[in-house]
Amino acid sequence: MRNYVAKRIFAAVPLFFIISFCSFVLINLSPTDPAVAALRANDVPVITEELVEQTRAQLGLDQPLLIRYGKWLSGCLQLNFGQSYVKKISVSSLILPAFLNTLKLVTVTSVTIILLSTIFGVFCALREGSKADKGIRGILFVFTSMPSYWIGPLMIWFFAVQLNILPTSGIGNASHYILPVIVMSFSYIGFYFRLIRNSMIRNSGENYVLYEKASGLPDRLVNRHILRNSLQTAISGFCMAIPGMLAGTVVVENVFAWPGIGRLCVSAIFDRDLPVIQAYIIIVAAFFILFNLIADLISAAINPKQREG
Amino acid sequence: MSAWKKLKQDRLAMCCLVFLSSVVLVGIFAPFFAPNNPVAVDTSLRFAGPSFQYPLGNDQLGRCVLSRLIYAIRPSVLLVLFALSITVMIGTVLGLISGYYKGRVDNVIMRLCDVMLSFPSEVITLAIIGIFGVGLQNILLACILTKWAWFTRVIRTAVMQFSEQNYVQFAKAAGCSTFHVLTHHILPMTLSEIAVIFSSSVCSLILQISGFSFLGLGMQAPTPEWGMMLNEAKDVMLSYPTLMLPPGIAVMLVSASFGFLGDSLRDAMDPKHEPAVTKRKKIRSTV
Repeated sequence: MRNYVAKRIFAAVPLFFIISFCSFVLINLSPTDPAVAALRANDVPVITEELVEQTRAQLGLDQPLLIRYGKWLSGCLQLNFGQSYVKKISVSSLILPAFLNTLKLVTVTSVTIILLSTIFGVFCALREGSKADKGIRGILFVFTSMPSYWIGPLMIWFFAVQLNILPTSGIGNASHYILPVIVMSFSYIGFYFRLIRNSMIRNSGENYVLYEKASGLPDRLVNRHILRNSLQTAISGFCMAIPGMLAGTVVVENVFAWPGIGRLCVSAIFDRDLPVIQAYIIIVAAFFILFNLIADLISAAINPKQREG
Repeated sequence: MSAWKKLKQDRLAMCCLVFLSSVVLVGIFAPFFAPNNPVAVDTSLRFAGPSFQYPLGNDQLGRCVLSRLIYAIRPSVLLVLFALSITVMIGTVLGLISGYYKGRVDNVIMRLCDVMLSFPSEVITLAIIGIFGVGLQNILLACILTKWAWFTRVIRTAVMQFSEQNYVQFAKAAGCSTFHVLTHHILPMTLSEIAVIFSSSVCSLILQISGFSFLGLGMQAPTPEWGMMLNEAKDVMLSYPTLMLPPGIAVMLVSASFGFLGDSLRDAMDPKHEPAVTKRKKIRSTV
């Protein structure tokens, strides 16, 4: 086990460097000159050649690429992502509070998804082929294919405007979480629910279940064993989904005016605020790698077969 | 062929197939089906209800909603299918090379795939738009960049499985050229795999690309696109909520149909699959 952990961590580190380098180089390949972008973002009326040179020196863009990458990366590791071109404050003071807001939303959503998909999954697996099973599967399938940018505004219209029982948007007390969390869970529950349901059904055909039933174990106990074995696939799936959700909040945050990282990134794209975009990419990538690592380690801890691979 | 027979028995899958083909046809021949010009603004008809000439009414600029819906099939569905076809082609070529030759080439391609797959596709898309600017072509480019690695992986696995088979060994021993072996003996066997991943990824891709247009990062006005139409409808939602319905239902129906079709296709291609009912009976009879 210890060897496996060390191997996985060593594999993750170079991946982080490759991704950070790619995102840095890509931003520098951008058809718009960062210096020009910075000047435009500040509404400078006439952009002269001289002004561009001056800004370039000021932003440190006249140094070689590798030196700039080194400086940028060491800054990133100290949570210093440079200055925003538009807001004139440090990127970290913009992005860190936004990131915490997104993290709050993602945490609440993932707990909801795990609870609901396990409940529905177990329920449907135990009643495979029945009307209830078909009904729940059909309803969840429809929910999954409803785009969140459609169901979100409709829910705002119904619950916040017509019934006036929930806030329309923004962040505040617990009631602000309800609508975004529901809308976000819709698109994931269908998938995880099916994962649990199908792996439970697959497990119930295994020999150990037949043996337990033949030995006269009570159904409740047998089902608990089936569930424990089928949760293995689901757990690594959940861990993989959390970083995906960090990136997938973009739409929900924009619909519900949630002051998170996705909304910040979209507004940075419109402003062509390159340092903010760069910081967004590197933060989400770092979390993605971290959670993939955790997912691998958890599934290795549960399933010894994985450690060999 | 048996897969096609199985699929034909699946009534839901056939419904989806008919529906999707008609959507594609309507999209291709949009000028024949659309009753009006989709970008013609008529302020006297703002928010007009359904009428004989404008079956679904008019939007906030007095444009015909039905015509916009029909013309929007082109960017929302046809362009997505086109981009996905390019991705599948890239994936097939790389997957064939990687799975057939193995060794060092395979290693390099697989490490590249690892890097691509270790990144959520939304982030790559946002990065590409952030770098090259807002527009549908950049989103489609991002979709090709994010999906090829996944297709390559799936196709490589299938190729590896078939390239060890006796008939392939025989073809090689009989002196067929590598190109012939690849195109005549391996590629046809991977087609089912390709069909399944194609139809199941169209579903998520349509949702995703309309989502970016909804955020204003994709298709730009006045060209109609479902996500764009939802974005415009959202601004006037409080007074005219019905404008949200046509584009939303269109996205939902098309993506759900692709999802259903993908599922049925997978079941039809899988020789081990049995319908749930018979399996249940079997378990009961054994227990």
